[in-house]
Amino acid sequence: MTTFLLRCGGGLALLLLLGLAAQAQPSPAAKAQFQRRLRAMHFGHRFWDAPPDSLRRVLATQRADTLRLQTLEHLQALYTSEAEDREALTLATKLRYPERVALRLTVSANQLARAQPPNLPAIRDTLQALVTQYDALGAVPLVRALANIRSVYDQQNQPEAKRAYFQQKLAYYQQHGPVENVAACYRFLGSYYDSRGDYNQAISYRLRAAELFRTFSEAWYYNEISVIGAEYAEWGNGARALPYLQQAASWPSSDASNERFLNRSIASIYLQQGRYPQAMRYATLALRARSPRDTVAAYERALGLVPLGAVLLAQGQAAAARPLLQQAQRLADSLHLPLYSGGGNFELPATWARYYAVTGDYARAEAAWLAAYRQARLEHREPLRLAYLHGLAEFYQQRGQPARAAPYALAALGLADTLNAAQTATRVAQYELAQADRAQQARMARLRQQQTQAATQSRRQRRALLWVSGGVFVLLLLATGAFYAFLRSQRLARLVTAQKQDLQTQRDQLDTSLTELRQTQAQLIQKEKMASLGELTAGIAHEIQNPLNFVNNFADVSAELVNELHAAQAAGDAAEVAALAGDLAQNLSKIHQHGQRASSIVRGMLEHSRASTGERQPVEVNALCSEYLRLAYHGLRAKDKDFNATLETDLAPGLPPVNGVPGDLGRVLLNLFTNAFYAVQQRQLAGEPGYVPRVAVATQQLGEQVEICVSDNGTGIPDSAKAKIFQPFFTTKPTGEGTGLGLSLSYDIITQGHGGALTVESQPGVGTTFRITLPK
Amino acid sequence: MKILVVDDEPDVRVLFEQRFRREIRSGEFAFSFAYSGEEALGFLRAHPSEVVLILSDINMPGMSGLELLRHVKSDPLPPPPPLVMMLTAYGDAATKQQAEQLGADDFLTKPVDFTALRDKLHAIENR
Repeated sequence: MTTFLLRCGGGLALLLLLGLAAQAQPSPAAKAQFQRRLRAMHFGHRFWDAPPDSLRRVLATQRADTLRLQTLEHLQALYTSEAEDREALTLATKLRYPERVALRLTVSANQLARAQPPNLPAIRDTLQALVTQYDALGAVPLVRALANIRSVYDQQNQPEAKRAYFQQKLAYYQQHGPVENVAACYRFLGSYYDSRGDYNQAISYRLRAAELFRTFSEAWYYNEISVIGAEYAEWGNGARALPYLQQAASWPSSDASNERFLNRSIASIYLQQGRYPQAMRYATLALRARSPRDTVAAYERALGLVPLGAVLLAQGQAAAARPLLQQAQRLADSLHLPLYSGGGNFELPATWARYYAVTGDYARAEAAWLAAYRQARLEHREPLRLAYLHGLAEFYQQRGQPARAAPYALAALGLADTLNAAQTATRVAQYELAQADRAQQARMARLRQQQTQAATQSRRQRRALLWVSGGVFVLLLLATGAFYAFLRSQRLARLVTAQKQDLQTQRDQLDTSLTELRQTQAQLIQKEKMASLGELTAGIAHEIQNPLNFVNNFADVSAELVNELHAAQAAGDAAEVAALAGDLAQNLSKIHQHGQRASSIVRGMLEHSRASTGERQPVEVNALCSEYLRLAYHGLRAKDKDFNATLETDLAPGLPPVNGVPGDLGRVLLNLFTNAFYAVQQRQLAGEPGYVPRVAVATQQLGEQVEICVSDNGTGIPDSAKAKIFQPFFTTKPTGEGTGLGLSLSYDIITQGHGGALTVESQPGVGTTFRITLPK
Repeated sequence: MKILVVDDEPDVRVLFEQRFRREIRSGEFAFSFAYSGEEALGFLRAHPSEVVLILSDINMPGMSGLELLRHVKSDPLPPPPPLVMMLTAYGDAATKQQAEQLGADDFLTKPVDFTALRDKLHAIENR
């Protein structure tokens, strides 16, 4: 009973506190004072990468309240104890600083978190209220508070609510700053997509986060890089994962256990690639303490033993692998290790299965495969589940039991399809992922180059020493010569190895060509985007000039009217004064209206050039159609002044808005209009008498769908080309004029990006109609 | 003096009416407005021998200002033939030359300098 009352009392106090916090809007003076102090804090690498211990040493020497509070608030950005939070609150209250409201919420969040079981909704409300408080004060970096909110959402298992919250905060911080919070929101949105297995989006967001972290904190930047590497690895893209993981592992200030995590991941990739010596090296590193003060935790030992055992097994050393796997098993049993944890994959059951298969104990091998599969299903680790389905199918096939292999093979196919379908749904996002990834890789390459240069310098200093070593080497060579006869007997074995290496080299070359092809594809797509931007620019310049002329003209004429108004007032002509005032009011509204028109054009242009965030919103199709028709027309007119065409618009009134990405849909429309104008221009150039070029756009509602028709009376498309026009790189324009990607990208945007359809009807010599249908 | 202004931007009307406020009030100038080449031709046919000067934009959807100019200069309209002054945002030499070949009486670039335009209109009126 007592507990119950206490809980109620606590709840009531919290409600009161939250209510007060919501009302307590900081006064402008308090805000100014806070922002002055905020500016003095100089957020940068020195701030974010400061070691908490050194800050605590500084704190121990500080007596003045203001100085102590400043150090405590710096610590809060990194890590604070509850006692430190309480002291910060006491000091802020004493100094009557405006952040005391937020600090009080910090302290109550700490208290709530200590309760067993913790009241998660209350903790979240408190943390979110404190974020709102700080936001009202200014652009305060709140990475820790946001991280705590994220972890409450994770404990509550509410991924959708988490996504909604961070998307809303992302939009807010993108507008108001600071950049630290933008980066944090990107990171947590990345974690949302990661948990859904949508690696494409997850990595996209994390690359954006890394790009921002790089500007202010090395620690967070390298942390993000290592997560990106781990995600690529989970996604099954080892080649992409390696540079990220290795870059992160080479950071000298990395945390020792994180370095072991990275080395384990690198070892697993090399193992998958069949590069056993490298796998062996990293697996060994993953089990090593970095310094005498550093200890390898039991779970890290368990996680590290598995790849080492697997490498030995893969190299045919089952006897050597056995004790390692047994040791890992003992640790796993006492720690209750799952297949997947924050430390990465723990593939002990599957490794046992392979061990038993190699040693001929098939009954145990089968049981181990089944256990591995069950566990993966239980933990919802889809990539592992797929791997184990393959493992089971292969196992039964090799045992000569195709009937038992079949269901697992089928299940694997089905699962692979599901995973693929989830990925293709975001193909448009993938283009951008490829670009961001390329930029990041280039940056890392530069970093590596700098490291190499530093290494070269130190090598130069050691050159003298090397000369001596060189002498020793020559002596060794002579000794080697003496062993030559003995080595000859092993030539055969070497030949086999050489062939193996040849195969590996060929595979590497194939990998490289594939990577290069992907890069070229990404470059071409960027080129297509820039080409369409070029088409837009001339049209936009013309479209903006008109409203600007009106703004200037109405402003000028208003100045004249004001003079006349003064004159009329002096003459006491009340009717004239009223008429002039009416005109002035009208002019002001005209100025406003044309200013709005210009800025909406600029907004449209920004939307077109900005990398698509893929965010959907209600789109007014009619407005979009007439805007892009004008832009495409003026774009062409600016290039070819003789060109003229009749523009027809038949836009259905009261069309419902479509849920879509405005920038992407605009790109499609611009592309269709540009093609239509090109087709009528070609026909006009042919010199047909009495020909009037005509381009039309019509919209209508068809049940639950909205249809957009773009038609022209141009040259038309021959049947031979009709089947290919949506294929990438197909173009009928002369070399250099088109990339051949416009229609193929449009097709992707409509069908995959918006779940709609894009079809074409055309008759050579009569004209062409493109039809877009979009779900509402 | 009756002047026909042809432009696809409707606000041109408000602007001209305020800029030439005094002249309109004193009855010196009378402005009419058409929002396309086609509409302008219709107006000329419906109001024979009235319009002294046509001020036309070149870049309009449908019939362009240059086509309107060609019609005015070559179609049999009741006398006296109106003067035609072209207005365009693309003030390049090629367009200007084309307008002159078609018989344009003057050529102005946008943004319009209204002080200069007023002087020109007074010059035409006092001719």
